[in-house]
This record gives sequence, C-alpha cells and structure tokens, in this order.
Amino acid sequence: MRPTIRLRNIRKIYKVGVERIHALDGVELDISANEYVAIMGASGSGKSTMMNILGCLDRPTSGRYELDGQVVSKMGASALAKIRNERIGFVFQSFELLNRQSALRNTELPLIYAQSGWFGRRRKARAALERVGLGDRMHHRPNQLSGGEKQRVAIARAVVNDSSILLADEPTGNLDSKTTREILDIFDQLHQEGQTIIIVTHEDHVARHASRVIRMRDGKIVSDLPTEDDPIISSMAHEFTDMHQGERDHDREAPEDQSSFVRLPKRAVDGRHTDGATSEVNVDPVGLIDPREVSPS
Amino acid sequence: MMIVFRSSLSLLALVYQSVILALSQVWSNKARAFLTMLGIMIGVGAVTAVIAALTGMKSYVLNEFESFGANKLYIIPDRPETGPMSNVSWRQIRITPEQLNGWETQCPSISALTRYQDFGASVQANGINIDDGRVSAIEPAWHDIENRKITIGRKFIDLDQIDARQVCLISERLRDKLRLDRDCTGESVLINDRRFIVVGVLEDQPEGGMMRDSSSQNVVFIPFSTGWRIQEGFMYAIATAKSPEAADDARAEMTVFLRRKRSLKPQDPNTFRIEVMQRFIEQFKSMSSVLTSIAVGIVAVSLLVGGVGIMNIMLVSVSERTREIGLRKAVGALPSAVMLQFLVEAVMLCCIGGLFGLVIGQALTIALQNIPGVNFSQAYIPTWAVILAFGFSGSVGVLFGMFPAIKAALLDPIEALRHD
Repeated sequence: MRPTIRLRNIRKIYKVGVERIHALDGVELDISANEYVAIMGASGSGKSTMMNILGCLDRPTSGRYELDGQVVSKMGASALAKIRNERIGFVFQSFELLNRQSALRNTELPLIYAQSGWFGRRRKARAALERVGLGDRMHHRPNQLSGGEKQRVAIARAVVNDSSILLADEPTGNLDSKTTREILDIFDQLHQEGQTIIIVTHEDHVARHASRVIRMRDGKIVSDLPTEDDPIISSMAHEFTDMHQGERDHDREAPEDQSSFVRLPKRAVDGRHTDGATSEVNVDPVGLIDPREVSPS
Repeated sequence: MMIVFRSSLSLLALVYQSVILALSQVWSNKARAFLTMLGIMIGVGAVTAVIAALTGMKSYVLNEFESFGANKLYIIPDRPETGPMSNVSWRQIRITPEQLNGWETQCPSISALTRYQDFGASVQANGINIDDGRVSAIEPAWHDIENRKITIGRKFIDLDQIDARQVCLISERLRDKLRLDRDCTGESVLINDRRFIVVGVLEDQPEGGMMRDSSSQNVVFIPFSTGWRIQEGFMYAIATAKSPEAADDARAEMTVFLRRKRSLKPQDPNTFRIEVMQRFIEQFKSMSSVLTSIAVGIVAVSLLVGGVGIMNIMLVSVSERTREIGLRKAVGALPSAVMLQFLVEAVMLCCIGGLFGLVIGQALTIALQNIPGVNFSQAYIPTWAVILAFGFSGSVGVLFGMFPAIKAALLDPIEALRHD
C-alpha cells in the first residue's frame, strides 16, 4: 500500500546572515494511513520545521514530499492552501481559536474556505464537535470554555474536513495533567476510528500514546521505532501507569467531570505495576511544567 | 459548467462571509470604527450638502431664466471696443426702427419681434404724480413674446401702432397707486404731460426674482410708434426664436440681416450685439457644473484624507490579528480570501461612514432649505450625488484598504502563528 506521507531526502536550509542553518538535513520518512506517530526532539532539533513541512505550511529547500501520492514539495502558496484545507488538520499548543466566534463557528472555519464545504458545513461541524464530546457546548465562545474544551474545539476543527492527517504541535503544552489525559484519550479514540495522527511533542508521556516514536536531533531522524521499543519510553512505562491510576482515583471523586471518551489508555493496563510509594515520587507534574517555548528550528 | 457554478457560488459565499465578518469586526470596535469613519462621514456630508446647495441654486436660477424665456433674443446696439468704429458717436451706432423692417422674410427662425424703447417718465392721474415711472414703448408682438396677462381691457393691436395712438396699458399696482378704478379702461393718465387713454390692465409680475426690480412695477406701456414720436431714443428689439434650439440660428440670421441693413462691410465688426437667453442658460449651466466639480474635487481631497485614516486603522487591524490570519491561512484560506476579508472590511468602514455622511448631508440640506431670505428652498441631494458619494467612499475603501489587505494576504502562516 502506498504510504500517506512519503518524504525523500528533505532538506530545509535557512540563511541567517551568511550562515546556512540546516534545519532539516536529508530526512527520509514514510507514514502510512492510520498510523499514530510522535515526533520528538529538543528545541532546535528540527521537529518544528518538520511539522511545518508535513503540514504544507512551508516548502522544503530540496527533496520530495508526497502526500496521498501527490507531490506537494513544489506547489505554490495557493495550491498548498488548498492541500491544507482538504487534507490536513492542525492542533496547536495555544488552541488558536477565534475568540469572538462560537465553538461551532470555530469548528466550521476550514469549511468556509473549502470549494465544496459551504453547504452542509453546519452539520459537519456539529458532528465533529460531538465526536470530541462537546455536543452540548457548541454555542459557547472560547472564553466560556476551559482549556481542555478549547483544545477539543480545535481538534473538532482539525477533523471537520475529514483530513488525511491530523498534525498536533504540543497539543497538551498548555494543559494540566488531567486535561492532558482527556485530550490524549480523544486522540486515541480518533486513532481507533482510523485517523492518521502525527503529534509533535517533547514530553515522553504524551509520546507514549503513539504507536511509533520518531526522535530527531540536528535536523536528522536519529531513531524511528515502535513505541514499545523506544528505550526511554519503555524504561518509564511503569510511571505512566501509576500516574494514570492515580488520576483515575481522583476522577472517581468527581464523576460529573468524567467525559464519556475518557477510557483506559491501552498501555496503562499492561500489567507493569510497581508499588505506589516509588511512583508518587517519580510522577512528573506534567501540566505544571512551564511549557517550553517551541522555537523555530 | 457545474464547476463554474460551484466556484462562483463559493466565491459569493466567501464574499458573504467576509461581509458578516467585517460587520462583526466593526461592531466589536464601535468607538474605533466611528473615529475612523469620521473623516469619510464629514467628507460625504460636506459633498452632498454642497451639491444640494448648488443644485438648489441652479434650479432656482434656471427657473428664473425659463420664466424670462429661454428662446428670447435681445438685439442691442453696441459700439465695438476696437477698430475704426470704436470712436463713432452713439447716434451712429443706434438702431432705428426702419433698420428692422423686413426681418419677417430674412429671419425664418424668428417667430416674433418687437421694437422696444424705455425711458423714465412722470405718470400722473387723479392729482397723484409718480416721478419714477417708466415708459416701455412696445409693438403688439410684445404680447406674443412676454407672457403678461391682460386682466381687464385689451392688448395693443396693430392699429394702435400704425396710428401711433395715445393709448396705454397699465399695471395693476400702478393703477392702485394712482387710485384709478379697478376697471380704469377709458380713463386717462398723463405721461410726461401727454394724455393717454388706458385700454388695458396688465397683471402684476410676482415680487422679487433676480431679473426684476421693484421699479418695473411702475411701468406704463405705450405703442412703440407713439413712444418714438415722443422721443427718438435708444431703442432695441426683443425677438423670440421658434424654439430654444433655434435660438442660435435666429441669432445668426439676425446678425446677417442687421449687418446688411446697417451697411457693414465684411471686415467691419458688428455694431450691435444679439444676446440669447439660451446662451446665458448654457453659460450658467457650464459655470455651475464647474462650480460643482470644484466642490466635488475639494471634498474628494477630504475623502482621501479620511482614506488615510482607514488605511492606518486597517494596518493596525492586520497587525492585531496576525495570529488569526495565520490560523485562517493554516486551515486553508487562500491569500485572495484573506485579502478579500480585509478589503471588504475597509470598504465596509468607508460605506458605513458614507451612509452616516449622507445622513449628515441630508440634515444640512434641510437646514439650508430653512434658512430664511436665501433661495435654497429647492436644494436637494440628487440621486447621482448619492451614487457618487457611495462610489467615492467605496473606492477610497478599495484604494486605501488594498495595501493593508495585500499585507495580510502575503503574511507567512508560520510567522503569523508565532506572532504575539
């Protein structure tokens, strides 16, 4: 089967003064339909550039990018806009919702710019919001929504056009640990429904939800493994398990907050459960860490 | 076909969307939008009020001309300003009644002509003396040229002229001043101590108007031949062309006719002038349209200044909404769609400003109409001015909105999303 995404020898070179910075240095990558991929790396590793190129926001300096068999690496701005509109859904760290518009209007935004999306856009937007569990908050404005709800609107917006790939850039960077889990659960659910997801993150517990982890450094892919084979994540697996367990205990005290989509992460029940004392010490207070500024690679 | 239909529909939808968006943008920044629109409002208000005033003035003056007779010609002796004729005496220049004999056959475009002479005179009756009276000596054709109704008695007839009868027509006002009976026909008045029998009473002309002075009300009319016998003075002639359009032909015919009658050589300049009302009207029309375009031009400058304000605020808007632009581009808005959105917003600002401006202009016009003593009662904003005002404010919006809109359209989505 033809991969959804095929990158061949992708290079992106920025000129800063006389210096030439190789943000991407010969990247080769295939991603098939319905894969759930996490792209990881430190600041300056090239993961943001990678994200921009995968999302057709930017063009590589050289190399070939095929999306659904279509070569997009040489397309002009308008053609790329059309590709983004029809094939790609973005989820950003800071939500990027239009503050004066309702959740419904925010969700239908891509359809406004679609050639054939104008008719029936309201219905599609409703369906997308229901998919992320916001069926009852469609007419709320972003300032009436919590952070998690805002991000769910953003996810609804990303999937409203039945995009080929959902690109999420640090989607949980501005969320607390509980909301983070809710959002990740939605990603899991979308993945199970057949969505191809690429998530850019520097947080291991986020990447852990993916089925494949790509690590980047200095514009190159340094490792590309199934999640369970990724040395860092598998070594920390027990801690996530505990963390989720702890949160579920907390959820039980406030059952009204429980979204119907919150379900057990697959790998949270793999049986590797250590004693509570150790895990509590090692719990990474995910949401409390100041989200690292994603600087341009 | 289907694709064309669909894409034009989606373009329409995009325009609709942009309009809605622009309206909500304007609404959520009411105070700022108002201040921005102020320039356009004042500009449009001023231009419509000025045009209304000029229109009112024009229709007032034209009405005056019309009531005077657009197809009228005045044939007046005139000494050339240069050449050998410029030094001759007025006696030689003046027109004599005989010089106009035979105009009927030579000037086919002229339907009626009266020789005319007027001079000051004392008018006396019932022991009442009016010193500043005026005598107008006219031929019966005058009745066909001027529309003055005879309320009592009769018009002059050819016999009055041929026999140089001592008869006169008198205005109602003068009749009342002289305390004559309402029907004073058959009574006599003394004009410069000569006895004249009143044969008819002329209806008064309406008071005021720029072509009539109040002394014209103290006029008695006598037959031209009678007047000429009293005083061989400075006569001229009034004629009417068959139609206002024939006025120029009539003028040319009369010029040729009079030159021959006055034995002018081809190189000689005219020793008379023929003034055509139609010509005045045209001159006035062109003058008033020059005035109007000057006013429109001045106000256009103020609208351009308003446009700079629009551009300024649109640039602010683009930079405030950089992230929004980035997002819209990320979800697939074409550069043209982003441009359209900002362009529509600028045009919307200008058109709303224009609308308010029209309201101001209408208010000013109503105020103008009610200024006492000034003849602006016919002032109104013509449709073309409304269209012009809107067209101009819309164009200002396009012109000055273009740069910010292009700036927005060319924003790089990655940079825009990183903006704070």
